[in-house]
Amino acid sequence: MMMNGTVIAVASLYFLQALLICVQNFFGPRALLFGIPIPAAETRDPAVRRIRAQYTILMGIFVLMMAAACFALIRYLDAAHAMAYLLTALLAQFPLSGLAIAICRQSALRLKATRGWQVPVENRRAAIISSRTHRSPVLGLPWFGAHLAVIAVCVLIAIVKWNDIPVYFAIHRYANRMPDWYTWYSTKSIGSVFYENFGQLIGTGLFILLNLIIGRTRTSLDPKDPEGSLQKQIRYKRINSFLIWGISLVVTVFLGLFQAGRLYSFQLDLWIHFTLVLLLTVNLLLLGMLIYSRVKGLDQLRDLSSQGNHHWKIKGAVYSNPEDPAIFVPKPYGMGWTVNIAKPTGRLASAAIVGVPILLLVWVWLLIM
Amino acid sequence: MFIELDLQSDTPLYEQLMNQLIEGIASGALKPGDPLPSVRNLAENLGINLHTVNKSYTLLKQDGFLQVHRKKGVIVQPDAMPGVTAEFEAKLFRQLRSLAAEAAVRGMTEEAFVNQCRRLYGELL
Repeated sequence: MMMNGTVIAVASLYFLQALLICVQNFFGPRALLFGIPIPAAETRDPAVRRIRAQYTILMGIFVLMMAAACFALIRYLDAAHAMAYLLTALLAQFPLSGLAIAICRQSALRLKATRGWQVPVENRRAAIISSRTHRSPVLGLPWFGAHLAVIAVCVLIAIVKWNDIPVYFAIHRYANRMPDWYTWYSTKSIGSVFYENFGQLIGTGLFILLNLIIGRTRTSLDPKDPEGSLQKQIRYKRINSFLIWGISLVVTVFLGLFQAGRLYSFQLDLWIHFTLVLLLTVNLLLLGMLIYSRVKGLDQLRDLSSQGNHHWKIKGAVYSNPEDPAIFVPKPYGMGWTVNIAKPTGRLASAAIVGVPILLLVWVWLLIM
Repeated sequence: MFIELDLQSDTPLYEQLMNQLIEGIASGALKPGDPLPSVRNLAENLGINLHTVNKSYTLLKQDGFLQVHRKKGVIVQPDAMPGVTAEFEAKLFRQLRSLAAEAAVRGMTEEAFVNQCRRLYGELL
């Protein structure tokens, strides 16, 4: 049975992520209601607010229903099994959010038809042609040297302490700190000793790729204020880049701690709990970023090239515009970017975004079975 | 330096882009050797077709305003800018002639027309 501490940690993480998803529609451009353009004067209309609240209520119901089902399943399980169910529940929040968005978008379309809103389409486009005086929107590769330094330290310690590492070592312990020799142990080899270091390297590579993608996302400027909107875009991308850098560094350090706990009997036997702390930290960082962007007005920039409703397919969930050369475009609600699936690279990126978490989930399930 | 395109304008997009790049060079906002965004990057940021940007860059390269550098990509001509060629004079004559004709028909004086030309030329430099 899971300890009370674990239950609290699991529940906190689940609800913190749910909170992030539930409130996302209160961030992003106010002039868009689930992707539907609304007149600037109507953004504070009670009906508009009701539709925004509708999403939060719908998601709240979904989240609570899933939480109840999840709790019923995991209350008598150990932390590892609970973790697998938790990951499933966490990932399930995304398709449920898509369903809630589709419902709210229909409400927004009905409201638009009732009110007869006609929002003029901006036919001008602006772009920066010479960026001599502007800093890069994302952190450079040298910043990821910190990750490589952490990995190098972990590898060096493992090499120095090679003879101290036992031939057999437990990789999981029970709540009473007794090693689990039946299902979770390894024999000493290069693969098992440096297992986390490979993970650190792959993870760092993926985060570097993500950082590059942020740098490549469209810089959509407001023709009325190109300099101001450019500065906002640079700041917004830089915050995201810092966030990616920070999260990836925390992940790298945590993997190093797992390795230490595994190899040197360092008192980190309850590393599942550390994973929860890690995920909680990531969610808190994301929440902090959302609030900061809102306070500074960095989330109010609209992407002009993807403003046509007809480009948003499957109830507004997917952007598909073959005329748009951009692969990563800003989302019309919430924050962040989405993929243009009309492009082959966009389809590949979408497959990776959906496929990687599913593969991760399958891997976790196979591991604990 | 920023460029702005009007999707509803009668002037084709590639021509708007070319004109603004030449204006940037004339005003000094774009200096010789300055790198320009890649075709893909500029097309993505403007949300227009890659071929439109490519056409502008190709024509400006053919005219000698831009150069393709092996490492830096597309850059503003670092050497001497193209001089006043016979083709340019023919184009200037053709365009000015029709504008002068319209100005005359509309009742604009020769002095006012010349003053406008002088003011615009001065503003660009």
